[in-house]
Amino acid sequence: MKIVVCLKRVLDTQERVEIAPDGKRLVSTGLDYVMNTHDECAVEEAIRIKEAKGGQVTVLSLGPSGATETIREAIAMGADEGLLLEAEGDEEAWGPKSTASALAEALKGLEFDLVFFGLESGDGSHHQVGLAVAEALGLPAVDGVKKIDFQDGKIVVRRAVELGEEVFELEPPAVLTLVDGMNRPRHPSLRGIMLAKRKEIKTIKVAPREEPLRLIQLRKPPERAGGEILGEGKGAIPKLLEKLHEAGLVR
Amino acid sequence: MGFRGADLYELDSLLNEEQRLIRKTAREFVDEEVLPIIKGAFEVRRFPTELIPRLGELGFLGANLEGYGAAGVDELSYGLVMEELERGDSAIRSFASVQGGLVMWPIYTFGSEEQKERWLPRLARGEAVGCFGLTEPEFGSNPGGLQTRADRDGDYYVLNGVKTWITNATLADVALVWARTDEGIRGFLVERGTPGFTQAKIEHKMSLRTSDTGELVFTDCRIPAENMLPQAQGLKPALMCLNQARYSIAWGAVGAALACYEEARAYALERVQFGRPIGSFQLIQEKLAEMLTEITKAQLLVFRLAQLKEEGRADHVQISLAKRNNVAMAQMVARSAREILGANGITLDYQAVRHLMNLEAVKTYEGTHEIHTLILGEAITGLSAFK
Repeated sequence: MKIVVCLKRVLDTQERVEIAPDGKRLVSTGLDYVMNTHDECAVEEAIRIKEAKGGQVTVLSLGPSGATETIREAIAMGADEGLLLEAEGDEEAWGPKSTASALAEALKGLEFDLVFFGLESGDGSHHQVGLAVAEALGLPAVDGVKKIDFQDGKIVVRRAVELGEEVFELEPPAVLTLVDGMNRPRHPSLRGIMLAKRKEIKTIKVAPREEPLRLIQLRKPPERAGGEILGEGKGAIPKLLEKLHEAGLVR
Repeated sequence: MGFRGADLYELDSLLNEEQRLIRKTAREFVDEEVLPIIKGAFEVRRFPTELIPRLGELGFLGANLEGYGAAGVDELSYGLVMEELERGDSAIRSFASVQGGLVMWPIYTFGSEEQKERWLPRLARGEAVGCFGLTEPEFGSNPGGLQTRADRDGDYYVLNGVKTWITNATLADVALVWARTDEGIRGFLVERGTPGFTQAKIEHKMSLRTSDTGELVFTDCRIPAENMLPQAQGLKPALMCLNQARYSIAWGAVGAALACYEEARAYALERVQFGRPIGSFQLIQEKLAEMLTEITKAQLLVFRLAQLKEEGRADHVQISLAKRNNVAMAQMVARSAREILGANGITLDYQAVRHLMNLEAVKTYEGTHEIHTLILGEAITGLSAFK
């Protein structure tokens, strides 16, 4: 099974998020770039499939030259090779449409049975690129996959929906977007990191070809009001019930 | 959220891509797999053997060696891994230091090709555990006087003697034992289960409680002559091994100190007395300022030491200075952190007291603080105070 995993490096905003004075971007100084969480699970899933069934895992990313570090991390985890589409122009010039068309173009030159994406990126959260790539390549796609099985030559994928799950049978080639939490991504071992260091990562320069989405303004959500401490231990129960009644949460 | 330690002089910005990634792996391993279990293991004096295969899988064991299944990372990366492991607990770093620096390194450096092939890949993967037998009940700071005998008898050597304060003593599948022969001190690989070889645990420790510390006893223990390390003759090779371990201790101590410092800093900002966070009081700020100052100096020491070691130029005096300084530094930081935490600081719900207790042993093993003082004294004056 040949799998291409498309991944993105994003700012590690776990620690803090600050909006630049122009209101159109995040302050990146002092923050590290990390592999997008959903994409990390996609890499892990692809490696597990390779380990179980054989095949090859190729990592494809679009971003600045520094994104090779993220590609190397995926190779250190166990992917076989990496390709960077080095993005020309400002980050703002790249919307989901341009990204998808550049990735689709690159995928035409690669052999694959499956293409994996993370569900969405942790920064833009557009949730468009994977499906737009499938559309551009004319391939079937399932969005938000939480489990992949192989049965009698068919690929069976499950996605969560309200009140249950949807089950699809696919034949390759196909595009899947995968959700965070479907597996626990491994840490790259030191041996893997040293191997990845020696791997050459092919780079192709690409320019945006479509109009980007125009970002008007970034705003932080309003601060949430602080909680109220009603008491400690059993003594707090009557007051808690009173509050819950008031809020109409218990009757 | 992952751990992020103080880095006032921006040493992180000097790390390359692979060094950052290596530390990330070690850091997440400690956060996810060591810290959740360490309190319980310390309390009941259990070494978490379940971590051994993980240490091997992730490539932490003998990571700075090339080939034979070792990862082959540079000395700085190796130091960063040791720092993270000791941020977890000194016992976890001790396990890795002994396995890598005191067992794998000497086999790699002084061993025969057969010995390397037989042991290094298994030790690197954590499928076998090693220990290092130099110290004896009567010979601690003065290892040159060791009394364990290895007498030649045909194709065998017959070992008699006792080694003590041995890390990994009862877990070990192989012990590297230093003994006196007719041709001087030599190193022998003794395998678990060899008749006449017993491994016993030292009980009732209040420091390094998680570590497997014990005794090795040899009673007419017959070792095939091919188990002797061919390239190690005299005491010097044994002392060279100690330099490897002391290097990793110098790094590890920074990890223990950072764990305590970050814990105390967070506590000082949260804990309110007299209507304001205790971090606003001058006496607490002085403690934090001292802690950060000493940590920063220690970080600079090991960073430069790593560069020297990478160039093959780190000498035993430089290593002694770093071990001596950094362990004493970590102990000071752990004690101050314990004080900032007040009464809470004496419980294992916080890390400081566990590190403080551990560092008592770390200060004494691999060359006592005092012996390192005298190594420096000898280097400065050319006059030895102990030989």
